[in-house]
Amino acid sequence: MSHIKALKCRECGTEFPPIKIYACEKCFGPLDAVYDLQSIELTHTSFKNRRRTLWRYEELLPLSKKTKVVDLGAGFTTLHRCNNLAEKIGVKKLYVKDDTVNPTGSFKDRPATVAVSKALEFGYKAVGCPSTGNLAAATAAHASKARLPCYVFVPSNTEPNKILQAAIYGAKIIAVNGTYDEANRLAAQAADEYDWALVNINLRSYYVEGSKTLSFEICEQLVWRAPENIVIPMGSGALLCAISRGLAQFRDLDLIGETKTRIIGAQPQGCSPISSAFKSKMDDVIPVESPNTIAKSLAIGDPGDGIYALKTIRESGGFADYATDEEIIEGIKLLAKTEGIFTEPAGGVTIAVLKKLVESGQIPRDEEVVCCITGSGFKSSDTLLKTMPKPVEIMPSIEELRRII
Amino acid sequence: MGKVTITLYGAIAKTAGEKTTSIEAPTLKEAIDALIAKYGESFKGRVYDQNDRLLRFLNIYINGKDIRFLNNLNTELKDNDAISLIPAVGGG
Repeated sequence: MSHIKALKCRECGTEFPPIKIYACEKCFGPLDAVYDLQSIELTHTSFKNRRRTLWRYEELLPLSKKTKVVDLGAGFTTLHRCNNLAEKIGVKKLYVKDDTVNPTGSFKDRPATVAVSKALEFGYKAVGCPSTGNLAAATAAHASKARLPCYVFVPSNTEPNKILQAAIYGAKIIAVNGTYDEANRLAAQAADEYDWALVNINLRSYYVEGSKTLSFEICEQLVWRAPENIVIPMGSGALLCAISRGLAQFRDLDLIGETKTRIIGAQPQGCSPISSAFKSKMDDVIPVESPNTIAKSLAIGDPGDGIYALKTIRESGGFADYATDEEIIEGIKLLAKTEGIFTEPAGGVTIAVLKKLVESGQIPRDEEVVCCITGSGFKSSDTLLKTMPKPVEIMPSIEELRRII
Repeated sequence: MGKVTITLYGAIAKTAGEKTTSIEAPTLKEAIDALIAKYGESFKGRVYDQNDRLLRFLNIYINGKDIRFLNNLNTELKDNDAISLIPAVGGG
């Protein structure tokens, strides 16, 4: 199955065997999965009869035992050609990678399926995560399938639908009176005290591998090539780094040609540590103490992969920008009204930033863009209801209908 | 000057050989110095880089508050403060 051979420190390069370890023991730097690419023989036809989930790329995922895979059907989501939105924004060719249709309604099903499977393989008796909401639901759903108890740490102001969803799947909800970063810190302390697999903390090196399948799918759906530009929402920055790593792996396996994809990061203005660092040409990412944005899934003030996302964007010749709450709402409505896709605020951030960069000329109008829409609008209905007018109510008579049409 | 409790998590606890300790120090910097004196040079390498800056992937909290939102190493300590040293909190 997997061809993982080591975990390598992104900072000092020290390699460790792929065991239960989540930070470099020398410098505490993050560890990345390294695969023996020489031993992988994949061609375009290898994928012909494979299942239509992200597990079709099993050689490039860090599981050793097929029997441990917990698959609710995450991945292989639609890549929509979006001519209506392209026309509105004024760009030649636009695609939306629609990850709202994943089993629990967000891209987080990708890392969750990999991490919960890995937790089973390692023999953990419980799983969990700190989360802004989407990962909580994704982990909880996969945990219920895996018959594992699940503990999720969420800020107490998390959108009610996201908490409801995780609770319905049977997770124990730990609502932390504080920011996401405080919930994250508490979860890290819990990881030390309890033998739980907290998927984005002590299984993080394996967990992020699920996210890179987004780029595998985009390349496959574009008939085995990388796009010219890709716009990605950023919370911790991990998704952006994973997408970039996925493109590089497909290139190294000769599944696509040389990649010149501009990687573009999008954040809400009320929590934009990575985009702000990019715009002010800094190398350091200054954490935000109190995020204030309607894009709650991106409200991570101290992004774990912030400096790496910044580096990845710069090396690709890409950009980072942010959007105000008003622009985010406008982005949500624009995507829904032109393409019939209902996104949570994170997707509104992506569309708003795309629009901004096309208008400013940073994304050339004659190029192709893929936008990642990472979560369903139904998860944020509380926030979005406030932005919509109340429906007009009428009596059931044709005269009344004529009055309002 | 404060008598504080320090809790170490993950790999840094392994280096120290214990998880919690109590120390009396006026500032966080001096509390860390006291830990280095107690646990030795190998502990120093788990806290500072070669330029004597705090390791990028070591987060320090005082009473749950990230020291980057306080006065970093110069944060003054008071009695009963709880200090946590936690490596590489990924999240997200």
